[in-house]
Amino acid sequence: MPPTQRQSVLPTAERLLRRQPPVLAGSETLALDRRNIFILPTATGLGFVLLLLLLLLGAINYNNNLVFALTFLLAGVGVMAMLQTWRNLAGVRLELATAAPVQCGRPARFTLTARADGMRTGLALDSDGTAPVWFDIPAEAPARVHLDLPTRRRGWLRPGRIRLFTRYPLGLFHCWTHVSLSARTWVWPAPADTGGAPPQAGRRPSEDGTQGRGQDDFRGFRTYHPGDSLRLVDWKAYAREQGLQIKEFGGDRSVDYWLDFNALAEHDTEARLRRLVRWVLELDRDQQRYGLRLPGMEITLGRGPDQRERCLQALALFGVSD
Amino acid sequence: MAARRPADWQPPRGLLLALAASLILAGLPQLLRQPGVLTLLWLILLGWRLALAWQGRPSPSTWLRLLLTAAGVGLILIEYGAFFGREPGSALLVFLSIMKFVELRRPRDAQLLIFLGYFMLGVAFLFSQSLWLGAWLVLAVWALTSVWVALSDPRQPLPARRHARLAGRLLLGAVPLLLLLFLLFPRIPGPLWSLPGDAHSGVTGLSDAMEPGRISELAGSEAVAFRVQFDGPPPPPAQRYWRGPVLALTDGRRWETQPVRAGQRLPSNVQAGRLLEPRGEPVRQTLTLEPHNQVHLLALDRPGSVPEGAWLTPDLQLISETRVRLRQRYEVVSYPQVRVAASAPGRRDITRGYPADLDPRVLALARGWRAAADSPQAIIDQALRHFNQEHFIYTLTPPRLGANPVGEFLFETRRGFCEHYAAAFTLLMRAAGLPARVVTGYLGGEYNAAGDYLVVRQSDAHAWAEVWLPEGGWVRVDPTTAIAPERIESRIEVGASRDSGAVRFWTDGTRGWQRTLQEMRQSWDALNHRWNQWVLDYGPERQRDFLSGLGLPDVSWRGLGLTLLLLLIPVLALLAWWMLRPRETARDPAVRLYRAFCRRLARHGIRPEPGETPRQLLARIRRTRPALAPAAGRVIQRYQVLRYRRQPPRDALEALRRAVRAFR
Repeated sequence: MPPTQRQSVLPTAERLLRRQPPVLAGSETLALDRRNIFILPTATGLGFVLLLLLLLLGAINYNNNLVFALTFLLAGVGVMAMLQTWRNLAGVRLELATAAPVQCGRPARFTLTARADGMRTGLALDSDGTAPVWFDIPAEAPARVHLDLPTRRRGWLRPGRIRLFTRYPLGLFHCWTHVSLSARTWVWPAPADTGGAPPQAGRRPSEDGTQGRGQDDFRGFRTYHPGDSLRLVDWKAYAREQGLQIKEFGGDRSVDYWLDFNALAEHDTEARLRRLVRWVLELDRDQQRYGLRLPGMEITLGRGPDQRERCLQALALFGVSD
Repeated sequence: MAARRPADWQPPRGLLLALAASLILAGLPQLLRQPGVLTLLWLILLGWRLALAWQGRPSPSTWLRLLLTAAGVGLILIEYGAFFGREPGSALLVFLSIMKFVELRRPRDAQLLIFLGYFMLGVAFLFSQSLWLGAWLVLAVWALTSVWVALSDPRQPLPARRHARLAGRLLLGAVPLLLLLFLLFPRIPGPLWSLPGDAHSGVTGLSDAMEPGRISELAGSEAVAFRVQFDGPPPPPAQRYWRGPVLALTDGRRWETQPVRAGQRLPSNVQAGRLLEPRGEPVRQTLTLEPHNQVHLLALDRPGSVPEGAWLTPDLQLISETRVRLRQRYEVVSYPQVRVAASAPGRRDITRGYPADLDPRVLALARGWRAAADSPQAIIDQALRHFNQEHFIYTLTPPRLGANPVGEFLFETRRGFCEHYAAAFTLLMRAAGLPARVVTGYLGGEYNAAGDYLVVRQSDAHAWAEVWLPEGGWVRVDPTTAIAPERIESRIEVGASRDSGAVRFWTDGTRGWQRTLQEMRQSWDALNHRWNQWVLDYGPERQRDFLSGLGLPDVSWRGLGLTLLLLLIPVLALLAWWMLRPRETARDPAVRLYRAFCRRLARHGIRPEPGETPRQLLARIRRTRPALAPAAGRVIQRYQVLRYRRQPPRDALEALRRAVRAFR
């Protein structure tokens, strides 16, 4: 058995202040036990004590043994409620899952897995200023808890200290533990309300002023010259007795978008970033190729989810230190 | 809960219903006791609130509630005429709780209602502490606590079976603490402050005065006066005279006890022994006296010892130092065949006196007997013969008597009960020159075989006379027996006699069902007696007895607190262990075994993900820890056989157990 001092159910304020909350990193599991669970009576609990005192006074004054019995029974229920509330948190193991990056203004969802050796009821997770998320842990399976944190600015979002608490079963005691999540996610700026068209200035014509040749975009027909690939012959036209026609395709001179921080008219950095985000999202939606130039950084042309994420992360963390 | 704005809170219907039910349960004694019109109104208010909730409408507005509250409080004032005191206070508490229920617009209101419910239970015990009420306490506390648990469940604030189960577990766990605190919490005798005037009203018992002829009906009550346990066999019925107040002072109408000066007290057994010449076997008895709010104690005639906290008058009347407001238990040794050797000087004169305005007919009758008799005993016999041969009738509904009750009774009405006969006989003796006094008390008692004790009820109240004979001392004479000799060996059945006016005597039921009924009644009374003894009468004295039984004699108040604390710690530790021990919640043995397997897996750093099937888990083990895969595969295969095959082989469970055990 550890020293009794550490078993004390009600920690002193001093110990509370001194103690750093346990850190729950990436794939780590945090098991809750007496070292990190705190418990204090709630306002309801104090009201209950008042009720008990009133009953006790009545019992003594009227020398009434059944009132004594009622008082002591309720006192016992209070003690049992304390143990039960404590028990509700003890043995709970928290595991942190990742959180997806999120747009500023939308909630960032951190997902935690809570396990226990049995059923747990009336647990709640919250962080500073968020509404508690209530959940139960069923007897058979772990519970997934989604903690939605508000995002107020772009950059890294660290949930920091979150609180797991319970008041079940009677609300007499508030039992809680603080967990510092080492996980973080990044928040990209909210897109600007109006963006205008993505900058056509980013379009890059070929040297000879044409689109060049290639195999991507259909450009038109020309007559067959010996040596042309038979695969390019328009056989339908030949069938209509229009002679051998060759299908011509345009090459890699299609529209590319270069999103350049320095080329924007706004003076405010955040406003520029927000406009860039808007373009990235629009271009990604239209499946266009685009690149991003930020001071001191360039993201080459690309498309698809990876490109989107690279760009958004760059925009999110622009000028932000770790 | 913090998420809800308080103003928006609509209590769920199920919660309202459960609250209403537990509130009615908690207030039941008051609802049954108070005037019916109040109860009816309270139930209507309760139903009204429920109806509002069912229609999805909010609780009534503040002014309407204020109006209703004022009306209700006014009604209570009209019914009881006061606010202070036990009765109106309890009525007010229940009413205000119901008004809170009508309001109910925040979760906190519901919480407060639960507390009010508990408080109502406490108040109910100020009126009665019967066994029924004790059982009802358990039920009501359970109901209230279940609703409370539901209320604290933020996701499902509707009472459900699991809430009731958890409440039951909390109550069960509270029992050891209840016992410990009940036994060891320092008990302080006496009230802390003065109780309201009606705190002890409604208790019945013998009074210290008697006035035959003033009441025209004897208010017989089946209430228990006291119970007696004997060390040996109980005395024969003819000897079951229980001595109470001795009335020697009279003005011809009213009889009172003679005041005792401090110097005349007989505080110890030694002095009682000097007064008495013990003859025959002493009878050692333990009386459990119901509170009667008077100072006299009862004992088998005649008491020869003095219990603690009491003293003996020269009239051999046991007097308690304080009024008997709690059920009291004491031991007395009585000598039924004692000779009272002497009377305190100066006190015997009182027992000779009769009022100057005594009816001349009474005086003439007594003097005639005295002239004809050759001994005091002959006078007594003559008087008894007179009652027996003249047409005297024993009735519980005698006619009222006027200014000269004894004369009227002896020569005109000739109808009365024991008080009339005792008073008339005593005055006749005094008129004939013999010192005499009236003794009140009880006669009889029903033997309870289930508990081996006698029950004496208020309906056994009796009055008889004592006459001083030079050679015999104070001799008991019961003139009532001259009229109805059966009276000694039988009890009066009060309920039956009320209607007819005639007395029917209770003889042991010969018919089978009567006997069964009587046995049931006796068992119930025995149970009540035990309840009284072990639960209700546990006070400062029994606490001291209990502690000295534990080997802790004379524990001080502080020592008691210390003992309590020292015992609380291990009990709390045990409870904590019980509550906090790891629990296996699965009922299915296969699931239990599978979980044991998962725990073993965890030692290797593999934990099943939420939603991961055993098969997926196995695939992961094969991928990440191939060394474990064969043993784990055996477990998982057998588990799946048990889970999914329609009729798993009989030894499948055993096979799983072996596989789990083999997995390291």
